[in-house]
Amino acid sequence: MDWKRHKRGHAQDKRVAAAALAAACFCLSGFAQGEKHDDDHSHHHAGENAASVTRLSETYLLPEVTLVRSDGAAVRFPAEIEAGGPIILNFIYTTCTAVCPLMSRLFTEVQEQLGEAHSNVHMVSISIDPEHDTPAKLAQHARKFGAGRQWQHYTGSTEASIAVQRAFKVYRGDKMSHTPATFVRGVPGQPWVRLEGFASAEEVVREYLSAVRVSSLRR
Amino acid sequence: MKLTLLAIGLCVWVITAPGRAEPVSVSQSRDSIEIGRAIYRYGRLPSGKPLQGERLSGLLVSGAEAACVNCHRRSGLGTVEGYSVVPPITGPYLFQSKADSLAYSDLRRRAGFAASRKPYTDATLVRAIQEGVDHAGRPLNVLMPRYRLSDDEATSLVEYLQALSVRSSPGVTVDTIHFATIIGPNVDSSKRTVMLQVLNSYFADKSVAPRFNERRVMPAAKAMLKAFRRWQLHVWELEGGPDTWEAQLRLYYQAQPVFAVVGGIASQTWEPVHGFCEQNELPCLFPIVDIPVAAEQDFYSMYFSKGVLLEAEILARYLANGGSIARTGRMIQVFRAKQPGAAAAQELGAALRRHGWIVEDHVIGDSRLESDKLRATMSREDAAITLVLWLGEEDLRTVAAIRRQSMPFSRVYLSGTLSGGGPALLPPAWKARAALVYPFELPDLLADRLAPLQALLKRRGIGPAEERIQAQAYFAAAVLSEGMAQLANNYLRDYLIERIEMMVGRPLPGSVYPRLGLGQGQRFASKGGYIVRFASPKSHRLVAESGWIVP
Repeated sequence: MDWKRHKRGHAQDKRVAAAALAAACFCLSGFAQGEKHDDDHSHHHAGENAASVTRLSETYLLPEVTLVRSDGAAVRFPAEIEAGGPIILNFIYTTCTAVCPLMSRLFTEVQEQLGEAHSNVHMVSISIDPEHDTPAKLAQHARKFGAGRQWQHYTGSTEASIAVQRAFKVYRGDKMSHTPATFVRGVPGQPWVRLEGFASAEEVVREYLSAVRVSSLRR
Repeated sequence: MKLTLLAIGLCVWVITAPGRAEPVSVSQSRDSIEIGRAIYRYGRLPSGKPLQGERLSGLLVSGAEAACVNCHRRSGLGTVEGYSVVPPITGPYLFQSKADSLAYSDLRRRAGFAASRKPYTDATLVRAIQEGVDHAGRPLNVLMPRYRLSDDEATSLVEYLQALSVRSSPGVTVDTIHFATIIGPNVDSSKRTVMLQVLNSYFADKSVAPRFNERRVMPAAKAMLKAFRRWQLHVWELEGGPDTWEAQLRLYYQAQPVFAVVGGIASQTWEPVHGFCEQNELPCLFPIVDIPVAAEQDFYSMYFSKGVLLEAEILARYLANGGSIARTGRMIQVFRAKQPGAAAAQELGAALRRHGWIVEDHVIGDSRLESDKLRATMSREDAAITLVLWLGEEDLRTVAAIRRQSMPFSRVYLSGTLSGGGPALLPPAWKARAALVYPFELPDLLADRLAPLQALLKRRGIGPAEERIQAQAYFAAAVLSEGMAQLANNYLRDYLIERIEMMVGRPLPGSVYPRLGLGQGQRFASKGGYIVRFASPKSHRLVAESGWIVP
């Protein structure tokens, strides 16, 4: 990394820090029931609990990039997403310490709760550490979390991964700064539901069912 | 009952020895701590069954996935991920009202500032582990599972936490932090000199102005009283065969334990050093080696890349995808026995044979017989063959000298890591068909990237020489420096490794790689490379033939 970028990186870090702090404060303010200021543990409390999941409805412009699926196939990202059916999507990386294992476990649980219905949904996990997460490593990760055929993992070039992260407004400059978010969409053209925070499997399934209902009404 | 006794013991300890981070009682059974360790590190219960936990949302985790180490890390000092803060859970942080310093802050982000906390007791901690509520009964973070542990098992875990990371790692004294760099035998003297120059110059600053070696967040008055430590670099020179290195390293280490090994350089294997570092839980950061030890399950050694093994993987991917001009399916590889090139040849040969290639290995040496055989190989005329030379500069010159006027094979691939200045000296007939496997930034871009570093080195009286080595040595020192600064007062080797895992990937000073990244358990920071060729047969300039290939 060169020095100029080094400096810019710092500025970016600060912005990320500000955003993270703002996010943390936002969560805490909603939960501030008598938290004492001398207790650093406030971070550790339900500020991030299921209760603090934020729900947004957003439209994203999918970038025309190629991703590589864990079976090695190179696919155009928009085509993969806009094939027609409902999508549940998240961002992970395989050497993540705390957040991603929970996000992947959440998908396992969603898959189980959907039961037979899961074959209608395309679950998409995109690596934010694509150089490390080769298709083989993602396939291993998928096996570890018992991913069914409808749950696919994707990698690709760093540029492609960043483009997709930017499109979904989850790009935080580096993988260590990522935050948990789950995206649900019924059919192409419908807005995405963005669940920011650690959503429960029930919430995701509920969003999925409601998105599917909306899209069937549209038809 | 045991728990009550422990709790009483703890109270006595807190009252009589505040600030001392010793385990409650020396008589604590080692067995119990071992049980705690198996739970913490591996998610394994004393019965051999997997540890099980349930998160607030109802999600279940078990076994290695449920182990505390995943989030709280080996050091127990926790981590920050996005806005999720995993707090430290070592004895001093759990049981003292004011821990000595914040552990998990990243000062660039100011996350997780630990000013003070209410201390846990053994009983409230066991409750936290089993029921997921803090000392005041409030639920813990959604990431924290409620563990299905018996009281005895939970107590063993608490005992493990009390003993975890309570003492500074070796190599740190009242006023000095000791580091070493390791130099293998027969290393090219200019490379050796350049690496030491850069490291010594970096360390010179660290011993002149030790105040800036560490960042502390503490009351100003306290900061005034704290001694800041100077850095000292020890040069451990190895001699003789690799089988004797471990004994030599042991002697050096006994004479002066060091906190970490920074940089280092070897012309052949690095395996004994890797083994020594792993065995002694000693961080070995970014040695300049052609072939690292590809054992990513090991913890203490971090490398720039997989070196020539990465080159072999890149070339295999490139050829198997038909990326070269002549896709023949027949190859001759030339290398020296027992040198890094031999391992690369083995890797490439195996990979291409799987794709149906016919691969012929040609081992060279110094005997008459061997040079006759090399001559015979090079006199063959077969435009259907791809030649790969896993050779250093001198050997490359010898091979090229056999046949300067023409290149009988369709393509000749050289190792960007091993070939040094050799490719530039090749005759035009060779250059026309030559390509390099190049796990570095493209030469045209590299000059720009390294210019600021060179300006910086120039101010320290170091002119440009062996630029790749300069950049690598500087990078190793800079990463160490940044990592040490983030430790605050926690002089723990495990924590240093954990901080560096988190750090590399953010912008860091000049390196010869386009991008570097690590993560939990990742040990090779650069993961790809280019195929480059000469801009023209008479040019020294190397240009990209492929995009960045990540095999």
